[in-house]
Amino acid sequence: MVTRRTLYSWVLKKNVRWQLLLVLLVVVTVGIRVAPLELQKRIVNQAIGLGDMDLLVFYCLLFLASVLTASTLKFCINLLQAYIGQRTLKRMRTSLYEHILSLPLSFFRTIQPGQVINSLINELASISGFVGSAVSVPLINVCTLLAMGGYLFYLNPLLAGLSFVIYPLQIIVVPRLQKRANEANRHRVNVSRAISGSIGEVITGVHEVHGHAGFGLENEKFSGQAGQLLQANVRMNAYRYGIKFANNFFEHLGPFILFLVGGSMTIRGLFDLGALVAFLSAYSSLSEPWREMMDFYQLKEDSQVRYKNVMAAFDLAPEHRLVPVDRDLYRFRGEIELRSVSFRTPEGARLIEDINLHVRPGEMVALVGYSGSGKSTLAKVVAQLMPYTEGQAQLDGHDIRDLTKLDVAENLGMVPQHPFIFSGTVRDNLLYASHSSAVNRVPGFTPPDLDRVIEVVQQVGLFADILKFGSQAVISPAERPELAERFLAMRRLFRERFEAGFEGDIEFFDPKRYLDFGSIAQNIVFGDFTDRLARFEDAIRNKRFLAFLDQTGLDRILVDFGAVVAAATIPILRYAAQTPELYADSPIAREDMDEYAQVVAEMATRSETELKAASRSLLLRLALKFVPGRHKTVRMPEQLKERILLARAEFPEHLARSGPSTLQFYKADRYIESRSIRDNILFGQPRPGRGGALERISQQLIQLLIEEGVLESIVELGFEFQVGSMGEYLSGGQRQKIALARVFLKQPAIYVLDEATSALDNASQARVQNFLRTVRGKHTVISVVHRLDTVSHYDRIVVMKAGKIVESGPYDELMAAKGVLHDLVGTV
Amino acid sequence: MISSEQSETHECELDCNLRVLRDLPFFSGLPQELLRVMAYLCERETFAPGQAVFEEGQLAEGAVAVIGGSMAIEREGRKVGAVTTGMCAGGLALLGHYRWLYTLRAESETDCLFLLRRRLLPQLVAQPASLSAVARELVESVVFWDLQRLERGADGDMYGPGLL
Repeated sequence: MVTRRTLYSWVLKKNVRWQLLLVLLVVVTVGIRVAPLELQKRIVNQAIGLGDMDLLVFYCLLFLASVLTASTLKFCINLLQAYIGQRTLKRMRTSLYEHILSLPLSFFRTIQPGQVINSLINELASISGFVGSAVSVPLINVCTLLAMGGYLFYLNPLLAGLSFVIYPLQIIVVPRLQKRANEANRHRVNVSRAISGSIGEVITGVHEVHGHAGFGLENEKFSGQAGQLLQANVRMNAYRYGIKFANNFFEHLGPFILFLVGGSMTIRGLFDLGALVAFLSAYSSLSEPWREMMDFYQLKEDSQVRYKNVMAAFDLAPEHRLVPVDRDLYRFRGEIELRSVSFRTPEGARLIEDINLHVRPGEMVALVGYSGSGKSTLAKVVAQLMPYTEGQAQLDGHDIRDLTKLDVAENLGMVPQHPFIFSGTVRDNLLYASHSSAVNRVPGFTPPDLDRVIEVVQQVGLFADILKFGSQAVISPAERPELAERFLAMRRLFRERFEAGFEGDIEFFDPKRYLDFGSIAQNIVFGDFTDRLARFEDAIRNKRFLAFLDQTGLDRILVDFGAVVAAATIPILRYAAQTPELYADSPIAREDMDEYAQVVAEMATRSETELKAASRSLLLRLALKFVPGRHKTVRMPEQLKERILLARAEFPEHLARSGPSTLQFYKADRYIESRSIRDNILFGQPRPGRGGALERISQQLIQLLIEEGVLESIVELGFEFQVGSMGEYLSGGQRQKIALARVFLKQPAIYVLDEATSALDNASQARVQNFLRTVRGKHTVISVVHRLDTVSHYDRIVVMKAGKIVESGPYDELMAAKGVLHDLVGTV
Repeated sequence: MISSEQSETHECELDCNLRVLRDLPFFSGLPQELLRVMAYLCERETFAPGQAVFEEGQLAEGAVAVIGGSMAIEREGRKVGAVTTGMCAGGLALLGHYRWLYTLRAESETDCLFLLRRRLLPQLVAQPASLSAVARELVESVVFWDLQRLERGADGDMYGPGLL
């Protein structure tokens, strides 16, 4: 197991070739390093001492060549060390990651994602430096020390002996300090891991933090942990710098002895000056390899601590093999047999007890019961997600505990109540299981084609969502001119057929009508930026736009209007508890609140014409952002709308006069680059606050897309919709539908659904139930059901209470018996 | 009774919402400033005749007040009552999670004001006295409802809040 490997085992494994090359380079480098020292002696004694200019030049050139060669070799050594370190780090990370993914699910309930990330990315990274230098650094420095030491003894044994007296002292002091530094480092790693875990937890649950305005609370917690980390770092650094201080001190003690003894010997004529220079130079050359050895010692100790801490955190054996060895993958018919099965938590609580249940292949079983009755636990035991602690559970006669992960994955599809959605596209998520089967080289696996994906997507009620995603895609007419042309043609058709009928649901783009669901800036411009990232609020910084407002006199009117909006909005925002919902429909963003509060305070003491320029600018910006259909604190006067419509008519001419721009005006015969396909076909935007408007529009759009033969293109675009980090752009229902489709595409023998349709609307629920009816007899279904109005068509209802099965049988029988199911149906 | 009309005297949507909320019993004990915040956080929606506002079994995310029009209360496809202008449904959903026990379907073009739990509850939680006032009103209305039911002679086999 990877966690049991020693740090040194990584140094050589799969690196022998590279380490040998490194050793070769080191040996050559050490040999070359002695040459400059001998050359220094010869330059002083022979060339300078004898006044031989030619010899001086010759030795100097030799000196330069040897220094250059040594530097080049050192560069190669460093490069090779880094390469060995990084490739080993990659292997270390991938092995550990593979191991972590195989660990039991219970392990992940005890560890924060941040801790795993910190271990894999930060802690291991610092170990790579050690791995790369584990062979070469000791070798090069020990060789250098021996070579230099030998040379020193060759020059003067007495002086050499004296200068080496210091090193034993250093060897006694430094390891003691290092031991304390190691302890401090261990503590630092633990604190760092805890803080990473906390950050990960807060980021994962940031919705709750926003929902409860827990900013202060979390900041306080983080500040406390950051304080602990500060202390741990300071303590560890104190020991590290203490080691450096000791090393420096001992390093400079040497020259002190040499100057005193060597100098007196030279004065007394016992030692020539050139030899003293060479000796001092050689001695100073000792300090670098010695320092490197000391640094390496520190690095080794530090890396050992980190490595042991990281590996200890994950030193747990996987519960199940990942893939079968020495046998083929099992193919199940879907029989489930539970005999006296119990699950007990490590603390001793029994979540399910003495469960006896036999499910025939193709049978449809609903698990029902009060909250906490053990339904989900039972489903998880069947899906091998929770290891049962007593009794025996089998799938097709094989003990669930003995099955590999791949056996279960290929034969059983589990949909939890809160499914996980990966970052990426809808397609990536739908085909996750298929991609996985392909990577695992499952025998006989064929990936589903587009028709099959669409069929399943329809079965779970996701097709309308896919079309919605597709119709909300933004395409470039330059890149897809034919498609853009088709949509323009559909715009004309849509207008001809539906303009009158959709007047209430759609706000059509009409140059003569004010857009209630557009900002004032958008209404003046009556267009969009071709740059999709540009925003109308930034128009306040556009000199040409400001000149236009000034020229038309709109700027003063808008400042006045901005003042009205600010005065009406700020008191509400200031009084309310600060939640994200408060700002969802606010013309004033949370980050701008204080600025606008100051402006409102200023307005109380000065007339609007006397306000500071910055305040007037803020009010103008607020007015330009105002959307009358969305911002409720002020009713926009009709006269102002009329005034803006007049300005709108003049704006294109003004813009054309003042040069090129990135604006594209709304024109009935032009595709709007920054708008979605849907808005382009509608040539308008759906009005919010019209119940069912989106569905009505969508129905007609789909009809039109089918007629025009572009449905497939929209579906393709829909599949490419980016769902955001962990599916943040999807609703709860969409997430469940994707999870259901993901499992239905896999077509396993057994479906385990744990309240998998709880977030679906009634129509989608009905679709899924219909689908389950169609697979009856072919696939086994175990479904944890909360809504009892959906269970009557199941073959069998298993009723659970306090972790036990209290009733089991067909729906009608149980209802007629007036038992627990009858009570449940009566009260839910 | 509350009125749906946004008057011609430049009354903004916020003021109109405020009038609606003032007439709801469970908000009667709230300070004006908080009521204004609540009015600011409400959402309006208009429903065409026959359109479902909520469906039976769907998660209840808040209360809905009828500003204009009327909605049928349907249980298993059968009309069992109506919510008309000035009335409110789903008040308990402001405080906790449950699923709608009935479908609400617009009978005529109906303007609704939605009081969503995720928007309003944090504001109430921030002012415990206000939260207590709302809870008090809700408890009183549930007890009153239970009393009426018992006096009508409800089925003895049925559970009800007063019997639990």
